Amino acid sequence: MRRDRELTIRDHAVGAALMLIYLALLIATAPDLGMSRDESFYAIAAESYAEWFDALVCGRDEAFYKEFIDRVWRVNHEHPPLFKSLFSFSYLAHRAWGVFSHDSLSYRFFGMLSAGLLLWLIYIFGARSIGRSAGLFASLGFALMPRLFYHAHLAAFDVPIALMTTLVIYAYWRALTSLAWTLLLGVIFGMALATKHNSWVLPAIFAIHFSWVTVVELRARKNGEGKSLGLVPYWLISMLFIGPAIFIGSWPWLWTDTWPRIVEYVAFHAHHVYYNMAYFGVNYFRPPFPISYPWVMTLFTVPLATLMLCVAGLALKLRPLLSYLFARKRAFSVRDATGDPRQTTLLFIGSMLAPLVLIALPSTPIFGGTKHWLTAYPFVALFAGVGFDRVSEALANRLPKKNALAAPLICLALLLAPAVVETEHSHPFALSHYGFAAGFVPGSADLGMNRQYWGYTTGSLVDFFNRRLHPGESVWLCDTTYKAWQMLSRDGRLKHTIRAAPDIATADYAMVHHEQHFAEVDFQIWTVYGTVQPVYVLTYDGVPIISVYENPKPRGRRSKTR
Amino acid sequence: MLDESPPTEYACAVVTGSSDKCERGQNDSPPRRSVYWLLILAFALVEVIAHAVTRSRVPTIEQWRDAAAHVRANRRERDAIKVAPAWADPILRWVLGDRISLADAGASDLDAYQRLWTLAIRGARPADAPRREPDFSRRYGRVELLRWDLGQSEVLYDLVKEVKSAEVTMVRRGSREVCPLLSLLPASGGGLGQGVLPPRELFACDSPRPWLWVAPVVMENMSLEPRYCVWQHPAGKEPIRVSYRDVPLGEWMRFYGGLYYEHERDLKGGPVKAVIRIDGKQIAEMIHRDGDGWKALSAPTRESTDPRKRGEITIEVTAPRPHERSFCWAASVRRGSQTRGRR
Repeated sequence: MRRDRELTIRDHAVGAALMLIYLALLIATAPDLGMSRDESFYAIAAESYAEWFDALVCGRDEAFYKEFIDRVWRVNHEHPPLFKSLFSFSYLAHRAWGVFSHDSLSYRFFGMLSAGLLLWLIYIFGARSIGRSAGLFASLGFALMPRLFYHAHLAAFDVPIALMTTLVIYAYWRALTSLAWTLLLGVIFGMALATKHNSWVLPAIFAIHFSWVTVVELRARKNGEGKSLGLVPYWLISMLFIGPAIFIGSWPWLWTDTWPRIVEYVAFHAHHVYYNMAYFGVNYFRPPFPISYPWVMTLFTVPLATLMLCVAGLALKLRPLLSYLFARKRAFSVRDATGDPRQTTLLFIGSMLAPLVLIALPSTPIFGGTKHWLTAYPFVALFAGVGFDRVSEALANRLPKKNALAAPLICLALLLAPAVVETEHSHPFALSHYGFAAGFVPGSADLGMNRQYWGYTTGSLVDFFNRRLHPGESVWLCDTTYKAWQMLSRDGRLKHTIRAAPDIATADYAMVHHEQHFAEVDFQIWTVYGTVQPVYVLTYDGVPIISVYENPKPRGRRSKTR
Repeated sequence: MLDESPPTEYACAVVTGSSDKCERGQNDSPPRRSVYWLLILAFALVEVIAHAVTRSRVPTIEQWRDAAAHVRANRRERDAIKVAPAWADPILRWVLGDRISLADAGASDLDAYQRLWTLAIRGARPADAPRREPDFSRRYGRVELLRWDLGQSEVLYDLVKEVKSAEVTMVRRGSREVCPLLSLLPASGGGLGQGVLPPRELFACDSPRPWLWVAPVVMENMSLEPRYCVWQHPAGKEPIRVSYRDVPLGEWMRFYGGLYYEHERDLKGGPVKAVIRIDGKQIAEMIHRDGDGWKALSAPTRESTDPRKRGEITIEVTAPRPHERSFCWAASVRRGSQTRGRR
């Protein structure tokens, strides 16, 4: 990567525009998405935390009583507080002033905002380290990854942590040459720690990178080349001291019993329970998990044109380094060979690969699908930006000189076309969406890939339920939580007269979300209802997503269970 | 000093002494090589076109319904209906589920059937279809309707379908107790990990241990497939028995047994023993260990040459460690040879 260039206000205007356009797109498309399981837990947590913020703002002493803090912050204390607190702010604002068009949006807003901010950051990072056109392509290529587009809508932590880790990496990169950024790095790292545990891996990435930077710098100096970087790891000091202070300070749950609660939090994630995940027809529910999982899922779910550009960009950026390492004789140091004392390429590679390698470990749970390595995708996109630049140059070389300026525009349109088409079509079924390498959605079903998770696709059934169900009738929800179901009513999408039922036998209708391991629910319904025939099957590209069964027992006689 | 073909940025650094002086375009490959980069542009177009083509090939629900209408009009007794690929099964049951019983949906094999109808898409075929061309095929848009004639069924008596006519007993401390056939209120709950929900009508063996009942159910087996089978959870070392009196013995019996997926998949449970007796004499036993999945055995059912002979068939199930041993079995009595295939 080249030395970072100074950016102008126009660059930030471009970043801000990207953010605003994406935010508007997310807000406009959010009502199509039912709330997912995890979102519903975070919404419950946000409401609980809102009680504490309410007490704090109103100056009530109980805000600092252990009993009150524990009661309020115990909810979902397996995840840190930063974004749930933000969700509670938007929830409080909506409750007070009705600022959002839908209740669900009041929880989701900060998740969406973080997606927009991440586009801004990717553009800035790319523009500084590679070039403006590469940064722009990277930002758009990232925005138009179908699974990312889905997660960007949610009141969850996966996109926020992608924002925070990218921001920490950016801050570290700047901190290598700037004291101000060194201080900021600690603050941002603390915010990342307070967002999600993915951030734990960042110091290790930086330690490896900085070791390499140090070796390169020392060799360059030994060769008589000038000093280009300081070799005291101030960044580490900042991360070690400021980061944890912000992490603990931002989380009232840790204000008492601090150490045992930190241990409990770490243990929860270090020994996380295993859930089911289908992969090539096998339902994985315990280790060892397949090492190929994150790599194949990335191949299957990120638009292939974007991935090809990433690989091309990676190869281009690795060439100087590899040529240097394998050269028979070396006239210059690697610092000059790569033209970058900060070894940005290596930093990007580490940031891209670390999340994938971690998930590839046979002991790491894979139930989160692609969401657990979304933190890698900004760097996938940045390398794709490098590839984009090269393809643009190649096209410009082939065009008549007077048309050469059109090359980037033609490339932008053509290279983003698959991403645009696939992302548009993936909505609102993005977790069921697969790309070219998998043979798209039907091909992925042939291969036995996971169909969905989190029960959010119920949102695509509201028209059916509104049409079909009589007032007072009920639905057994399968993988959808009660809170998520309630949200469909609160948003005005589902008639208030349609209820949720606790039992298959007493429900008027029962749903099955088609995942491989949910087959047993189908069979439970067959046994209880005495029929195998659903009254409706929600499909996506011809692939079943949800079956709905009607209880054949006459209405009014379904209420008694054993 | 350098590689014969140094990378362009490196070469630039060599020429200028610093890569800082390398400007954009200065390190371009020669134009004749740049054409390879344009292949990525071409690929992007291919990706878009492939996406459109894949979507255009998705069958419509009308095409499924048209194929289903043909089956509905021409279906006979002992016709099986399947779909290929298997992931389209919910669509098959949506358009034709009124012609598919629980026994059909959870059949362990095709031996009870004389014809196999298949609604197929994407060129797929059912795994258990004969390895030959179908005897009938017609296309309804993207849906292929196929039929294989399987020949005369050799199944004489299905023990799962007839279980309500059987007598169920439980041996407790050496004495035999009858499990009465009861009609209960519908089961509560349902959902992931709950396993089999009991049907409303079942033989209840021990109310303090509500899992000790016998009835036909559809159970998810180790392969996550539906199996229409008789739930007969063992009580321990003493057996629970299901006895069928005065039934045709045919020439041989096919017996399948397995456990509910979540009770078997951890491979931590003890073995389950199923013993098959005819007129009190043991003819076969199955020891089912975790990991065996939906296990099958065949056994001859008669000693005389009289094919019309009738007798009592008893299935008894025990387990030394009965916790979460959700044993379920399917069996039928057949005529003909065990080794002769129909296909």
